[in-house]
Amino acid sequence: MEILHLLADEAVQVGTSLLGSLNPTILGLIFGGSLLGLLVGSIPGLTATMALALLINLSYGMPLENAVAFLLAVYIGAVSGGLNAAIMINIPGTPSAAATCLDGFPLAKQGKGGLAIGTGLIASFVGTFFSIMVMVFLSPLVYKIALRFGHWELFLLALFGIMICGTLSAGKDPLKGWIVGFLGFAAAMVGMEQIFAYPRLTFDFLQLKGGIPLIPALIGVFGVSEFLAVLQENVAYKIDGRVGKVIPPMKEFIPLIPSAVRSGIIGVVIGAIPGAGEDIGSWLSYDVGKRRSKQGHKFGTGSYEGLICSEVANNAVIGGAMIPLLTLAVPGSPPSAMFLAAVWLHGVRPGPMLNFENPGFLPLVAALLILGSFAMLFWGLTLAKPMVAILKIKREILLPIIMPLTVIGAYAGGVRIFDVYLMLAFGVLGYVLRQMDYPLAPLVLGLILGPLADTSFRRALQQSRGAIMPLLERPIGLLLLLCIAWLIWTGVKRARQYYAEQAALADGEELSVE
Amino acid sequence: MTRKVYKGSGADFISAVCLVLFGAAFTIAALRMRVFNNSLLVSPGLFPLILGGVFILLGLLLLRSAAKRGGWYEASHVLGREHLHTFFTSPRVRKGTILLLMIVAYVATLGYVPFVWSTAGYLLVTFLYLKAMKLHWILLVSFLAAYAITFAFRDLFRIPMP
Repeated sequence: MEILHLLADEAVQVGTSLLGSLNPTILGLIFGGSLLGLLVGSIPGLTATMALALLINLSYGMPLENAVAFLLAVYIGAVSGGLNAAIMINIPGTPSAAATCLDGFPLAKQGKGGLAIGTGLIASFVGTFFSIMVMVFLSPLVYKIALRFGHWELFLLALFGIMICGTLSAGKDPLKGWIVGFLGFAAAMVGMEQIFAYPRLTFDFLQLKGGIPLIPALIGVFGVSEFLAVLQENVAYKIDGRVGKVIPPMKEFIPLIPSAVRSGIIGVVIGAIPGAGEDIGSWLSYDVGKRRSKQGHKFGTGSYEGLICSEVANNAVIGGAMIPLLTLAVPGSPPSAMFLAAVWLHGVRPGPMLNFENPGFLPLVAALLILGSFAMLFWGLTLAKPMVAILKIKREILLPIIMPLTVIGAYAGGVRIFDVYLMLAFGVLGYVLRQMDYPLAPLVLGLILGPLADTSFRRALQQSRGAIMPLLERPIGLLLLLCIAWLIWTGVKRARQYYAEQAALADGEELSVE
Repeated sequence: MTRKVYKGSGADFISAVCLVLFGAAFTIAALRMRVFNNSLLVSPGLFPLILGGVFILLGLLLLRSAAKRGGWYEASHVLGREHLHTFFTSPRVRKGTILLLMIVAYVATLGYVPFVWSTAGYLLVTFLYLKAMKLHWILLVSFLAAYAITFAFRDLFRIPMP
């Protein structure tokens, strides 16, 4: 009964926020942000994280509500915009649209590119909307649990976050994901620590006393390294098919509702897992859809169901990622990490205390996400043809213009040229890691969760006077500890299996060694 | 002499050695940090000390796995003079390095040259290197884009510029 009351209360608050947000400024920012997000997302090589990295600087001078509206609209637009390139040129605009290529491109080759884009956009809208509903009704319950977290549980949560993010993002070699996650922790150790204000690893650089600023690091890792990696490759592409009719007949969607709901659930769950991200949600949903559907054999040949599985899930990750972000300050995906950094700049501290410090923030986010998803659908359907035309512009022209924007983004937050140098250093680090097949998401998550892990761990030990046993008797902590142990066990097993498979497949490449 | 090695094992071997060295350096730095109230439990160096240990452990795990896959042999082959020459002269690596150097030069000029000029210069050189368009278009787009970015961010949105 209490839960129902809580949920009804939450729904009323979202409704109130929605009505309050219907003013020209916010609507203008939402429609503007959505359009910019769709544009950036449409360009192959530019991810949703990069879209936020490039446009975050526009939000610095805005009031909180306007900044949140703008950034959420960019986020939804960029995740959804990736489907244009995936369908028309078989190159995903964003990694989250990679699974969309499998059915979208065959549809485009059959002359149904427009219908595929329309279907994908409607699926994206459904996925976002579904995830917002889950976020609204689930977040208050997570808040209740989060309030019972002590220092020990918070430390374990941070550790669990980078372990699971490392496991999921590194593919078959979780060891690499964990290494990068701990590197993020190490980077977070730079600067004044929070208990004694003792400067660590600053090497007498005054600028490092405040720690490594998140936004320049994020822009470097996801912006600069991506810029280098994309321009380094000579990938030529051309548009073969015509766009044609965009709005699909609604009656074709009815048999696909169960697939959409299943994909929505998968997307939300993957989104709620720290750092997992839209691409994992989309691939997993596509894979499950292919195995569960009666029409699974048609997947990969131009199936609308396959397209829906991918597009519903990658957008459902948005709402899912907001659940741990708002309740525990743990971002569910790299773009949501960027959003977290932006709201920190505006003085909002997401986490278990958010409901007390900023009671209206969660309903506001939900309301703005709803408006953002409508804006995305509007622009996506009306501007489908011009969006495809943008793909004709060479990347060699577009990408260099983006570099000055990353410089402004890194500089404007702290108004220090040192932050631009940091961005560059993280860009090079990200580029090197990328070349060696290391995932980048755990690095960012480690950087965000590092201070929480450090402070919580030492405070927990201080409370228990150095004894480990009292800490092991706490049920939530024990559960998290078991999850971490399970992740390590399965991760090591998976890595061993991967290397064994690799060895069996290649059977060794003979190399002369003197 | 021939040995069985696997692609990527050399990179893993090299990164594992770097990780072990980084872990050792991190541990030493942590041990040098101040201890407050005669207790290591809350001292600033405790967490970095553990992290240093974790890096050494993960590095050794990766090293063992890479060594089993012939990592040492591939690493010594990769780091050989002949291979290094081929690596650095490959078009892909050369392009990445040149693009990176252009960004470094651009960032280095920012403190001394007005943003609009350094941006125009960076765009001009990058477009020329990438052969993005014809020369007159390159000149036009470089200066127009630099001016448009400066105007939009500095004058329209009032964002602080480098």
